[in-house]
Amino acid sequence: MKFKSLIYCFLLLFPLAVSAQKQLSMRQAIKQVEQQSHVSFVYSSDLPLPATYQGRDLTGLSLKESLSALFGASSIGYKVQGQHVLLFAHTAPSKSSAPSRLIRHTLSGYVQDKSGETLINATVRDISTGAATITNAQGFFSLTLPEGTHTLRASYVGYVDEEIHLTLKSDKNITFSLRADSLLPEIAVVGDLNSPLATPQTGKYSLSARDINTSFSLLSSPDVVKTLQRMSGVNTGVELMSGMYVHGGDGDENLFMIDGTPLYQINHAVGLFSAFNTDMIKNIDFYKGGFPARYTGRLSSVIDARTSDGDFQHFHGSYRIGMLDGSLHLEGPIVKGRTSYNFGIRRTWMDLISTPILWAINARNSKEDDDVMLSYFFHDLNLKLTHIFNDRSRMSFSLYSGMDRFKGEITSEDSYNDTHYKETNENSLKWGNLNMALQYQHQISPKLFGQFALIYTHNTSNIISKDQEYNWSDRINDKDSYYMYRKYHSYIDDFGYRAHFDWRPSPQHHLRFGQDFTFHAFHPQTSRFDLHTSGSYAADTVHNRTANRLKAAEFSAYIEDDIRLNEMWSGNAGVNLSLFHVPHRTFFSADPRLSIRFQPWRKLAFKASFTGMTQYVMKISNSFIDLPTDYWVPITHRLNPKRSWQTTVGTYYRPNRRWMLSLEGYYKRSSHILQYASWNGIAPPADKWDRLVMDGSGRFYGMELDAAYTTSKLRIEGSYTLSWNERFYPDFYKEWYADKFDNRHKVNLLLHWDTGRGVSLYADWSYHSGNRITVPTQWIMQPELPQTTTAEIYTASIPVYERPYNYKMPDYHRLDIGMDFRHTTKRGHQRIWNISLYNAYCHLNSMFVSIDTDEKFKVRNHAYIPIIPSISYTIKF
Amino acid sequence: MTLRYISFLLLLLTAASCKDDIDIKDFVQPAKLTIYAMPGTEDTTYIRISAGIPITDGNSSKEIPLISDAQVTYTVDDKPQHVDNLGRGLYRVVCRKEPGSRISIQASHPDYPTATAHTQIPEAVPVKILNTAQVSIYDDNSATMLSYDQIQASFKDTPGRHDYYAVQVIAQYFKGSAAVYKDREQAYFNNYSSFNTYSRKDYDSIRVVITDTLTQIVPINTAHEPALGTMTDIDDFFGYGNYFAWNFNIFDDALFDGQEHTLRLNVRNGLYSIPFSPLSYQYQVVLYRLSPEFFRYVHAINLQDNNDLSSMGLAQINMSESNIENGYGILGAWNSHASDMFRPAFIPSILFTKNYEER
Repeated sequence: MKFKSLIYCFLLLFPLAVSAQKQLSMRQAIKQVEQQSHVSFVYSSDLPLPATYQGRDLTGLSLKESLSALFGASSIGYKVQGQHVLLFAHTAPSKSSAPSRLIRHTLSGYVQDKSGETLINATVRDISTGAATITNAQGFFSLTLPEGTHTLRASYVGYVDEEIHLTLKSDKNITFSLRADSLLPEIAVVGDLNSPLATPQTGKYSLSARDINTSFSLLSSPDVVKTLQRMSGVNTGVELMSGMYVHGGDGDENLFMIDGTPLYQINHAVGLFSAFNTDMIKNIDFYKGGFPARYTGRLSSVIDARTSDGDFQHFHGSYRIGMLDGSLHLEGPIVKGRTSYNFGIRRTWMDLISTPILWAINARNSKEDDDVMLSYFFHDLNLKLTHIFNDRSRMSFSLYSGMDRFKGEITSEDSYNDTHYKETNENSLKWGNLNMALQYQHQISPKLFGQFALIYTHNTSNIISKDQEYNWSDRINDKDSYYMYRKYHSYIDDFGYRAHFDWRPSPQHHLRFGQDFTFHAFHPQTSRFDLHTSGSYAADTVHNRTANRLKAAEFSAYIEDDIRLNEMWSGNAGVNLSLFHVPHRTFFSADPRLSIRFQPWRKLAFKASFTGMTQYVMKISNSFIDLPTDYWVPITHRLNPKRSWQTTVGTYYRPNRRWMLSLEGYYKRSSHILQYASWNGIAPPADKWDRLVMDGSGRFYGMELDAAYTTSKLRIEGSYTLSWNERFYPDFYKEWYADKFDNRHKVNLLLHWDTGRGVSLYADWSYHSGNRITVPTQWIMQPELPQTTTAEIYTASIPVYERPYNYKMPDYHRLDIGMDFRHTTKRGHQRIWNISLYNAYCHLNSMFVSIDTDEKFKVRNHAYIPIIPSISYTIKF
Repeated sequence: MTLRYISFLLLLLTAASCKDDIDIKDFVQPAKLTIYAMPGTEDTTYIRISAGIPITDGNSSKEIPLISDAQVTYTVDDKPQHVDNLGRGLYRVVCRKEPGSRISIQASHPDYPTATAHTQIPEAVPVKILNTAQVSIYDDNSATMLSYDQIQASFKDTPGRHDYYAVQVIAQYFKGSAAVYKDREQAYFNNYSSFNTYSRKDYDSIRVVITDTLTQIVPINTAHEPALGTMTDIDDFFGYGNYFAWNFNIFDDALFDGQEHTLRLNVRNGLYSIPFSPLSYQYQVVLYRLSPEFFRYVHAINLQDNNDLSSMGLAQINMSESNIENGYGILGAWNSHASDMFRPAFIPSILFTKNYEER
């Protein structure tokens, strides 16, 4: 009976089920395909979709079969693009119109957020035709489309997509205003043209403010350079020194730019902090491989940092107090919707405490005790003013000032009967940058965008030492005095202009061309020495002044084209021509840039690039750490500019929306890389440095594997670098040798988890093979020189250094952990407590190894950096 | 939940710190011979042959193994010369050599690979002292201005060729006294300074007695001579020095290629550097031309000695140089020219004359 009932039920329900399937609505059918093929459909809401789907059962069909079944017989066309299926209406050719030329118009404008902040590298896509483009560094886009109805979608990581429907009958200007949503998955922008799969450049990373302001910050200050150090292919040098050695290059081979102006001093506190205030950063494009032609001047990497314009609608800001520093950030409109400001300042505050404490201690000291005053601070100040004249023109002024200052003073005072003695010794170090840029952006035509800028950069480094000594007696009207003043000063002034044009003649081409000019005035090692003595000292007055001035003019012009042949092939081809004039010689170089992308499958892309780079200015240093005595100089007529040629190939694979995998290999050859030939001095004399350097070559090669898994709340990244960094200086060593930072293996694992309950966690484990040091190998007999040689036997010994960097220091590894506790107050302000642990398991990594051969061979490992906890408190309003 | 996170943090905080050990024991280098020979135009050349000790086994005072049973071949312009084995790793060759002579050496021993080297005797470059002057230089250690004699010595470099030099200043000190008689009064002086201060030129008679002479190489303060590398107080602060091993002040012609160059060599005058107060003194400058490899060898030692930052691992250290194939050491050729003795103008010439008497 039960069996019969089941049969009846089946017979009754089967037709119903079949009929239900047959009567599946078209939207339901699309949903089914989305679920089973892991794609999303993109179409205009006015697309005439049939109400129902009456085709074959879609279950188990491939995407191609499903699409054919869905739209094969309809008037709706489709196109698979990445993980998107674009739907559009087949427009029947008008009987009246000639079937010849398609009328096209240009749609141009800006993509910005609700506050008016322009968004860099945002994707603008025409849903109807699939044509797409990305915004430039000013947030501008231009897209040429056929006349007719279009649905434009603008998308950007962390923002809700915005769609605009419009009928294009002529050139049109529009502005997209996207709404930020921090809960969106970070890879929500499918079909992102700035993604590694879509951009033709190899070795490019784009970092937004949220990539930098993670939940971890060393000593409570988020850091740009330390974020970049996590990237594959970037070696870090000595711990905490903010070194960046990209693909084996030197520290001075990285082009740091802030709003288009070069930055010479990128660190504070001898590298503990980098010189970027992350509150101000909007976007950073970091290139280590396929450099576009618009960048020149350094061999190894480009870091193009852009600051935010500020909110055009509402006033708001934030303040943060951390372990060593605090920051204040304010932004808002000056004229609502027209003029904005963005102001940020960061300053260490330890000196504000140490100065009164030391003053109090000194006040309590007896007169015989020395009075000691020590203070150190650094500050960063950023200001950006932006004015929008109209929807085609805007102007901005940006200012950056960064300064470190250390001051130490010891005063000794004593009296005996009626005689008195006082001695003061004062030392101060001061170094930093001042950058200014006045930029004017103008949309010259719907397809042509121009940006013009005047720039000024000032970099300075001062070391001052002052000694004063007095002896006097109450009885005798005489005073012994001694005064000595020494100042060592190096500074640079750069003046220049930039003219950049962005021309998008067709959806297939995006041309950039422009021209830069910079006048460099280098003043290395300006020194002053004054000495006055009187009384019982031999009366003497000495004034000694030395100054060096090195001038250079740098001119460069470039043209590059982002070519998009079809969905499979795209590329970037360009050339950068540069002239560099110094007294007695003008250098010329033509650097080709070529990147090609081949995407045979929507999830997989192959890329290759070949780039040449030239560098005319360099930092002279005799140490692996960043010191105030280092100075920059231009190449001179006796030398040749640094050159490099780099080939990079890569495979990029995105198996699904959450995973991104890439594998890149590179080979770089550098020539004329200079090295100070004489190591008996912290820096060579600036008036003849070019005769005291060695010309050498470098070969750097390796492979980099990057993997990322991202969901709306979880981000896991891993990278592995296998690299060889080798150099050859014939005057130094007769063979190729492994470089100081030839770190064979580098691994980085990062986890960022937003628990969704106001707490986010961050963990980063980094590992690399140890740096290399030079260790002597033998004791041998000491020589005797001409005219001292006798028949005596003298067997004292000296060490022999046979091969540079012949010993690898212990491997480096550490774990950083950070947590953000977020809370929104009743007033709507966001309160953030951050707790961070640098080197969480307290592995004392080797900073340097000292070698003593005075008597017995002794090697000492210097490892000092323990676990460093820090805490900060931030209020955003 | 917050408590859980904080507990996790505290757990990590309790983690014990660890530091990596540095263990350099794997530097087992093949043993090689060390050869030193510095042929000039003098007839006698000594050759020293020894062996190295692994860096981890020895120390700077541990006796180096001397190789007394090596088979040594020494040729001048391809002609083999007789080599005397003096024992204890010392060998001697006596033969004529001239500028341009090609010297080769080969040392064989069953326990070591055969070591060979070649060099060529360079031409000497004439040097003459133009003048001496007195200058003051600030001294950091004493925080005072110190007075120096600046010897200005000139020579002509050969254009279009990278030349290598060394310079030494030799001071010859005269010990003695000067007795001055005037109107039956008598005064004795044992140094030129007091003689200059107190003596009157209208003395009736004078008697100078020189009892001894002392000749020594004196250290040079390089503050005014760029070719020898001027140091700043900043360099000093970071642990760099400008010390020349064995007072052998080497330099090259990078700053004055092909030009007449005047060396400004500051030396402390004799009142401070010898065990007696000299009645007078005079200077001689010896200018060496060095073979390139000889220069590089000494230069490398100087650079290693003058760089504290590199011994701390924070700056690059220079490699040891050698032109001995399969070995260590140097076959360094040289030639020299010594200027005439030059008497500073401020010392009366009579103070140099042994047993001078004038009535």
